[in-house]
Amino acid sequence: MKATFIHTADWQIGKSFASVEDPESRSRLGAYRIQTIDRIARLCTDYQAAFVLVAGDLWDSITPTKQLVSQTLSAIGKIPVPVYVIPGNHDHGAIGTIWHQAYFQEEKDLLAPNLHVILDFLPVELEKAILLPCPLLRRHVNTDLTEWLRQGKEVYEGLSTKPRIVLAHGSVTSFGSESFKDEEELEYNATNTLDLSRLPGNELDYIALGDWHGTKEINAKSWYSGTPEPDRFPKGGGHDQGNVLLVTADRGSNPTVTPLKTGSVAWIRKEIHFAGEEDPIASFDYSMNELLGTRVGTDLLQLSMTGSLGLELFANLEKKLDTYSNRLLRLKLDNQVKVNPSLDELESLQSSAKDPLIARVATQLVSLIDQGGEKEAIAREALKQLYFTTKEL
Amino acid sequence: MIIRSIKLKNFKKHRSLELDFDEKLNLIGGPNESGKSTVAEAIHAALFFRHNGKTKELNEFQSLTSTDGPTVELKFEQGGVTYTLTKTFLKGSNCTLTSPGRNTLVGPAAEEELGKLLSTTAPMDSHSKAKGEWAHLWVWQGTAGNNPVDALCTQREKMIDQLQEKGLIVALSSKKDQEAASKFTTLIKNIYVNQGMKFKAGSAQANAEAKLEQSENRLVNIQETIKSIESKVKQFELDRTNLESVQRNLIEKTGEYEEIKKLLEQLAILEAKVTKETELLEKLTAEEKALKNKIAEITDIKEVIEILEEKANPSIKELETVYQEINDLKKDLVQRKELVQQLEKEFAKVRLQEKYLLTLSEIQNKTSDIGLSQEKLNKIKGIANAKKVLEMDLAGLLQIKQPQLDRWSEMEAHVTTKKSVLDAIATEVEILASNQSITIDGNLFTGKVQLTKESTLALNGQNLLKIVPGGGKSLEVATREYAEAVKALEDFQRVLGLTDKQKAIEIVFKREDLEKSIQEEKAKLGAMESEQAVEQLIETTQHALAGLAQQKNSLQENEPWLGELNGGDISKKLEEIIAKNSQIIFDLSNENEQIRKKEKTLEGKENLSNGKSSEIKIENDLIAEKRTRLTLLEEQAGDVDVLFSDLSRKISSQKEVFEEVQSGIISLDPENLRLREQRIRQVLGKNTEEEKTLNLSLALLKGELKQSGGQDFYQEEQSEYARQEQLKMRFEGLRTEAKAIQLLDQLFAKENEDLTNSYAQPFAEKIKHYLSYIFGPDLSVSVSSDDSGDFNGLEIYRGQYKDLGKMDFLRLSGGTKEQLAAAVRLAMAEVLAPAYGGYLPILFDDAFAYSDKDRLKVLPDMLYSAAQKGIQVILLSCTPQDYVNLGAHEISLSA
Repeated sequence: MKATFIHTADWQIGKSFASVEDPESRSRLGAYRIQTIDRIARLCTDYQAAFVLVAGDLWDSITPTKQLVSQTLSAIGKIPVPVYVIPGNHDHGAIGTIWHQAYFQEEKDLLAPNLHVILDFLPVELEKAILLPCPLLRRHVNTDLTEWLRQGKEVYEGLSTKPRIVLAHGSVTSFGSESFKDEEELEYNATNTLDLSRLPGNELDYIALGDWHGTKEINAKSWYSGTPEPDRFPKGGGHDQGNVLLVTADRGSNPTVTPLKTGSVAWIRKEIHFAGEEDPIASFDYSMNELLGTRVGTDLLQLSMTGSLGLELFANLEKKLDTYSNRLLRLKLDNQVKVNPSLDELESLQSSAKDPLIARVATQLVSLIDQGGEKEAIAREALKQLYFTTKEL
Repeated sequence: MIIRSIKLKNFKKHRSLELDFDEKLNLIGGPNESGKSTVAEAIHAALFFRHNGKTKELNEFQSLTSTDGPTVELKFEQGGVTYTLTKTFLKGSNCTLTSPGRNTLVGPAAEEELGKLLSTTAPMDSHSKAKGEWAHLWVWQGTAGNNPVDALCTQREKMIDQLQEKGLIVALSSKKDQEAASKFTTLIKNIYVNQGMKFKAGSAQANAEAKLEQSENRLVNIQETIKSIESKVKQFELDRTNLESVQRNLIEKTGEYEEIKKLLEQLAILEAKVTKETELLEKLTAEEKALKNKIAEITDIKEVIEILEEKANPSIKELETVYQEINDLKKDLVQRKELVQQLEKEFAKVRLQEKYLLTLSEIQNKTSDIGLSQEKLNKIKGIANAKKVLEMDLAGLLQIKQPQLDRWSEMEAHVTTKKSVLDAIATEVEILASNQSITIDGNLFTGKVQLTKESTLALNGQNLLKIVPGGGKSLEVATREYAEAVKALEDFQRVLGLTDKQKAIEIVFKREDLEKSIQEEKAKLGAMESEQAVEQLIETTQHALAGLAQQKNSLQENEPWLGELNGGDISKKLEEIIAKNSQIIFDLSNENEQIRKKEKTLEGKENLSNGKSSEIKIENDLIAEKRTRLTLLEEQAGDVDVLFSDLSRKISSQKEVFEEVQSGIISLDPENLRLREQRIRQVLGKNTEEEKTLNLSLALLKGELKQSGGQDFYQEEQSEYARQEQLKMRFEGLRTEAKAIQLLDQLFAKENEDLTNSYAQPFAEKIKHYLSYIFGPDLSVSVSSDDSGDFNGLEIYRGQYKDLGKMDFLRLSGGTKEQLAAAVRLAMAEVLAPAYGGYLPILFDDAFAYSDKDRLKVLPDMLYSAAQKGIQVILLSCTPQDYVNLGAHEISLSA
């Protein structure tokens, strides 16, 4: 019996985006995440999915606000098929967490009767598939949550011929977990490790994984769906966020897996190097335009800039950056561009017969820059200060 | 400027003097007082003093021999033009300036033009400024050793201009340079304190640093909180695991406990049965024992009854005798009591009679008292009336008493005395025989008359004699005193209302008699009770009498028979009744005494009979009780033998049942069972306690976790971390900026110093050039300056010495001072000369007085060198021979 369904994870509803300074941008980012649920609902209809699996971290925390709970459940309620969810590390299923709260229960019954929270390590037989859930019931679990699936044949005895789908959340031993140490996300938890290699492959038909935010195929049967709405700057190439997976699984054969785009917010990384172009600001503008067009309020950009610019050009670049930072939800800037006075600028500083002192100081600064070392950056800044200060006098 | 010639007229000691000057070297020699300095003064005055000035200095130029104003005519060349300047000071002051091909300028116009020629920068016609500019060129006598640095300072700007014009030095920092430098200095002052070691409070850097620090602290706090929460969560989970294991154990142990409890219940049932069977057995045994006791008891009681009956018989006889005695006594007492009652009745009657009689007797007494009192009252009233009559008689008499009578006699005696005195002094005129009408002072005169004053005697109405009595003053007094005495007596009599003395005497006597009688009556009254008192007594007695009559009536009303007692001798009747009364009282007390005695005897007998009868009653009761008991026992016991054999059978069968149950209990091993139960109960208690503790700990942890539940610390950590990154970046940027500004400030300061040093160097080279004639070529000279470029010192280093260095001019020797100053002045003149048409004069007035011979030898070389560079040297000396090798144009002045 074949089953077609949507595999998703890491919605992280209620994520605070603490690193985004502007509160309005933060709330917009939050709102986009709930809107994505609507998109998943449409995909279910479009692709005739029988159900939706959420492999953990539906919530960003174990105590989302009541308002968020209602909004999210309302959106889930609009998904035309059953939705099965296990808790992840962000929203683990310990007593007292969201999953057990009366408000959630009541709202779920009213707004999303199609939502099924799985908190037990027991097979769940659906109409077209059998779910083998590995819910996270505490934030830190030192054991492998899939352990119960390799306890011997008796686990699988009596199961029907429907495709068997494991639902789990954590990092797999062969693949690094989602742990970063930067202002985007502090190291959260790296202890929930799943050892997929020890699972009885023949007994299982698909392993729906959550935790890694990029869409990732671990092996033919094991996939991370990634988060449906990007929530961080991509780490390296191939970090493809903003998808859900359309999966068709069958008992005893490999599944077919198709990523479907769902994300609406762009988290972009860009590196720009200034290396003496004729009109570096124009070419900067061109690249940015290519990247962002005239979009406002939908993109986040992590921009790393290197190379060097003349004093005037650097000032122009700063103006441009100001404009883009206003258009973007967030501009995360790593500006390593060196201030390097142009010959004309140097000339104007150094060869002023009228102002011998300024000329002499400028010459000293240029010599310090040439010497390099720790004073170089300071000398560059000083030269910039000197240039713009004397320009005003 | 080159000075070509000078003409002096009436200028101090010079009446007329003309001197020409060489354009290079001039030596004016001459002894002291020859007027060398005056020449210098004259040139200076012509150039720099206004002709119409009125200063003290100008006054000093006045000639000693002429009253005309001192005049100077100075020819000088500047810019290829020869000018002739003529100035007359003081009297006839005037000024002209002529030059070929130009109009002669006169007065202020001439002065104005001169000012322009002399000064490059000073405002036109400002002589004093020009004088200042030129001051360094005039080395007056005695000033050669002055520090030349001051002069250097004043001329710096002009010199710099000259040097720059020649392209010899780099320009000094511009205004923009200075503004930039000061801007960075200001900025850095607002950023750093403590010599750039610390950011200034309130600066962007300090603020950013503080914020960063705050953020770091916050992050640490949050992380600590997270750690604490995580450890609590860990503890929570540990506690939960423990709780689960404890609860599992509890369930297990509870099962075991239940089993033991079942066995214990069985045991309890058996034990209850044993108790019951034992009780049954004990009951049977007790029944057997009771039966035996009963038999013994019956026998005992029978014996006791016999003994008691024997003991009770004599007492009953005794009691009967006493009863008889008591009855007799009681009869006697009744009789006696009746008698007493009779006596008491009689006694009451007699008492009434007595009381009635007493009332009658009292009525009699009171009635007689009233009669006596009435008599007494009448008597008192009689005496009072007599007294009243006497008093009225007394009142009818004049109020004359013995003292008034005495006074009367006294006054009569006084009149007599005064009359006799008058008689002795007064003139007595006596008509001896005349029927003639003789009058004295108009009064008809007969007999004798006493004249006390001048009187006219008239005979038949015709004044006959004027009689003047002798005695003078004494007569007057005597006359007056006599008259006074008479008048006093008459006044007295008038007051008394009586002139007849005999009558007065009678009145006095009568008064005395009356007063005596009144006193007597008063004494009588005083000896008797007062009328009022007697009247009151009568009233009181009457009142009492009324009371008694009422009492009598009341008694008689109640007991009419008392009326028999009225009349007759009441007191005799009273005596009889009293005697009768005493008799009855005696009889009564006698009879009562008897009754008391009999009653006491009766009481004794009754007590005796009571004692006896209660004794007998106890014994009888005891016997009766014993009998009752005996009857009861005999009834209860029934057939004792049958009962006894029946009981023995029951006992033996009960013993068998008991033993059977006992063996069942032993088979359960109760000791061991109880021990097990106790142990499990302990375990259960411990586990329950643990469970409780764990639950409590969990509840506490839950509470603590719930408390921090509202806050997402992970999110806060994230947020703080992000904030910190931004703050760090901002602080880094600001710090770099601060360091950049600091660097700029330092560079500006350093470069400014270098610049200042370098721009003064060409000038220093010139000084060095001149000094090298004196100190030799192994020499380095630099001119130091302050931040604004002002010269503030000289630094000179000589190769072979280490003495000079940074110049402390005052500490140099006199000669060195002179030479050094001269070199500086020459260098300055050389630099400045181009501003004055390429030439400048310099005047030394005895300027090397302290220089030694060796130095003097080399000085001409220095001066010569200067002359070659456009300096016109004018040297004034009283030892011109010292400068023979100078090759100067020599001018000699004589004293």
